[in-house]
Amino acid sequence: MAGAQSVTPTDVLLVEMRGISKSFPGVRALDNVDFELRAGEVHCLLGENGAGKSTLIKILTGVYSPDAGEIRIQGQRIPHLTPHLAQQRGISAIYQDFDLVPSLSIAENVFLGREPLTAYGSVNRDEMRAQTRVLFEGLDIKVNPDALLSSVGVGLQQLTEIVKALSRNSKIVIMDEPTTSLNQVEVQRLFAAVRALKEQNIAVVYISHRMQEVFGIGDRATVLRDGRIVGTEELEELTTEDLVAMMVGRKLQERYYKEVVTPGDTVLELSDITTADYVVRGVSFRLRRGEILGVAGLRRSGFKEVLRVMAGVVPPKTGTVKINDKPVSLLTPRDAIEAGIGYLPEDRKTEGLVLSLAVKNNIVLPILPRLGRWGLTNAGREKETAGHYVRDLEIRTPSMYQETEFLSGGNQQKVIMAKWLASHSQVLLFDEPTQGIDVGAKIEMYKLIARFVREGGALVMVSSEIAELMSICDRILVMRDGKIAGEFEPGTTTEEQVLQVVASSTDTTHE
Amino acid sequence: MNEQANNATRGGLTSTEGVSRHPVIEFITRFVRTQGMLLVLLLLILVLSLLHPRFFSPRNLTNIALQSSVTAIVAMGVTYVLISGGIDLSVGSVVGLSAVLLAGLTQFSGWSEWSALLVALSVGLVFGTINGLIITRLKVDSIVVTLGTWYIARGLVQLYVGDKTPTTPPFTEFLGSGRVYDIPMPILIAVGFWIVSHFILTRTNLGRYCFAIGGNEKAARLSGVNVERYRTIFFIMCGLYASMAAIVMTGRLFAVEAGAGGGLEFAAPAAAVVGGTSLYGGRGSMSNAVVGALIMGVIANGLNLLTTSFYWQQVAVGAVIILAVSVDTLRRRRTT
Repeated sequence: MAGAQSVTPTDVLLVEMRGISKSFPGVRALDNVDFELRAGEVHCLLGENGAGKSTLIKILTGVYSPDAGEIRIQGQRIPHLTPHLAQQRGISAIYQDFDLVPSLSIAENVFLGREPLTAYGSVNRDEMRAQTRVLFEGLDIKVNPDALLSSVGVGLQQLTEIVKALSRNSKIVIMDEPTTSLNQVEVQRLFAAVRALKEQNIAVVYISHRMQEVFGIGDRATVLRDGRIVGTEELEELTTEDLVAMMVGRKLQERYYKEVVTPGDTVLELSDITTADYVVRGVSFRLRRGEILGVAGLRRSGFKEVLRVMAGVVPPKTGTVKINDKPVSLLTPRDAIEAGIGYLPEDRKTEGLVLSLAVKNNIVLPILPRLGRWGLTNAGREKETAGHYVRDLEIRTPSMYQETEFLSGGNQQKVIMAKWLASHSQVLLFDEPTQGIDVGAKIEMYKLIARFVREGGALVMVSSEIAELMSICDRILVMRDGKIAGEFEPGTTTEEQVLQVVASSTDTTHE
Repeated sequence: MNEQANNATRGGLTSTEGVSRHPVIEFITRFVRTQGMLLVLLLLILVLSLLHPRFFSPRNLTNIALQSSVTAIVAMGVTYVLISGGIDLSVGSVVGLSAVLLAGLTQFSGWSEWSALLVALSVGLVFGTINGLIITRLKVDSIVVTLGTWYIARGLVQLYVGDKTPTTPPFTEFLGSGRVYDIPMPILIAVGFWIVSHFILTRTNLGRYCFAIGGNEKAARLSGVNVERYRTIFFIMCGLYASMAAIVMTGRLFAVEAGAGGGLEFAAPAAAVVGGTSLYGGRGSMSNAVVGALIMGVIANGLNLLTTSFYWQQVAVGAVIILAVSVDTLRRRRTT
């Protein structure tokens, strides 16, 4: 199915986009952008949020039509690219929220809407299974094509998307932040699959904020900034610092930021916490003021669930939580908020914010009864409080009345942070604080975290990026099978040592 | 003030993330998004005024407002439920049950006016509470639960009155048929409801929680909002509005028959949605309910004047509902 002609992978241009411009009222999203894709390359597309990456991808997939410029696909000029035409010409995009049906099998998902038929016109299931197997084997993966999609891990679901693209004879596969919800093992499997795609002379557009991945898998990188191309370079000739500098337009001294804070009294203490579903089993630890505690683990190791216990989302079955030496019962999120705990969930859009509400209204949501009297809202005090935090955290928004859905990921994260600062949280629980936000915004987030603990707060942070935990945290707990499997201090440990404990757990994702 | 600021920024910014469109379409969608349905109402009035000489007379316009007032009150109650992310289809039968009890208890059982009124109101209270508790505690979809209670209430109406038609008690006549400064009471009552409801929705914590829960239930819960409690309250308010509308409706009639209030279960949510309140929760206003009820009233009245069959009115109203829901769905798809 892959390239029948014998060509050196890097000679053939599968896609040439020349002089692409695209404006939306008030915004010049793309300005005279050139972009090309060679057969068999992994081309990373980089840029801060709002740089124009997604607009470019939407033009390439026919969703938007450019105001100016031309697009050639496999040498042929396409004046009016539509989503249908793009798919016909072999362009497939894989987004974070997959277009898959959980209640169907893997094979049924791969061939959904294009099922192979028997001579009698019924669906040829044997053929479907066989083809699915072959396509997966092309990526060096063995699967059971009859497994229900909902029964397999996120990693395999993503690979199913890729196989679906292959079954359509795609020549160009676009992956938008593909590793966001994958664990380390799954990421390795995905990378192996991407390499297999390269061997089939398929061009991959790879969008990611994670530099490690970009250098791990990419051949070339194109960096966009403010709708313009900063450059397209061979990754071999670049360092991380070069790339970051290209993206943000200035040299960043460091990718992380941390201050030294002398820890104070114990503010939070967990003793022998076990949840009803036994995802968390007998976890105990203390957290002191001024401290940043990292929690690492694989999916289902219980590391995220511990946060949810403290947030009042999952009430513990047994065990006690103490705040300032006083036992508290955390049965609802309200209890946690009253106890001074603020929870910043991993998924900002579905759990962290009410996107349809204004920035101001999100910030004051937990403290409405405190601001007003007799159940009435107090517009003046709301404005004062929200305005203070919008300025203080430098939340970039046209006004505090702007709906939060129009803010960038980094600024949305700041709104959630502002919400908990406004309700005077002493402990922040941060689930993947910098996931999906750009390099510049990450630094800002780290500075806010540093300031929060410097001013006497304490923070528990969960991250699947061990490097981030190593650079930000004072202590790191590693969880495995619901228990604490190790405790590390970044100063006296290496990333590899931590990773070893993280990954030594029984891998639940393999079939 | 805030609402205006919101609308202005929303109108200005949506285009930046939108798909490129023809300027005319862009223009229209922007209007539809902000004050679109008010424009549709004005446009309808203009067209009908040109088509029929008697349409644009103070008398006829008052008549339209009068005929829309009961629907508007029920629609405002449903608006709380819609914005908080649910739907209440039981309102039509709740209106019916409140009305027959109000008339029946005074006429057949010789109850005092006040106790009959209290019973009528408690119908809304009880049904709202049942709806709310089943939906939030058992986590059943609101459309199913309220369809069930719609049947139950309608069944109770039939059981109670059968083919009898109790006459309207005298004291409700003023509410239904009285006039103050020559303005019919139902219109004044509806306007009163509008002012109070708008205040509740925009100036109280309750109103803010309504938008928060409908916008994102999970995030609202994580922000400490007692989602179950407030969703139940919104169903109770909806039921109470329906009962109060029933009192006004009773006053407009000579007698209450078993079919009273029928059709409101669709007309009221439809009015809210036609006016611009989202079927998917999180967006809407009380003005939407009023404008929507008036649009449906204008269509009914206009087609009536143009001597079209009553059934054409239903066809037209149906088409308007589909149009409004389509606009709502498109808008939602674009913003998520």
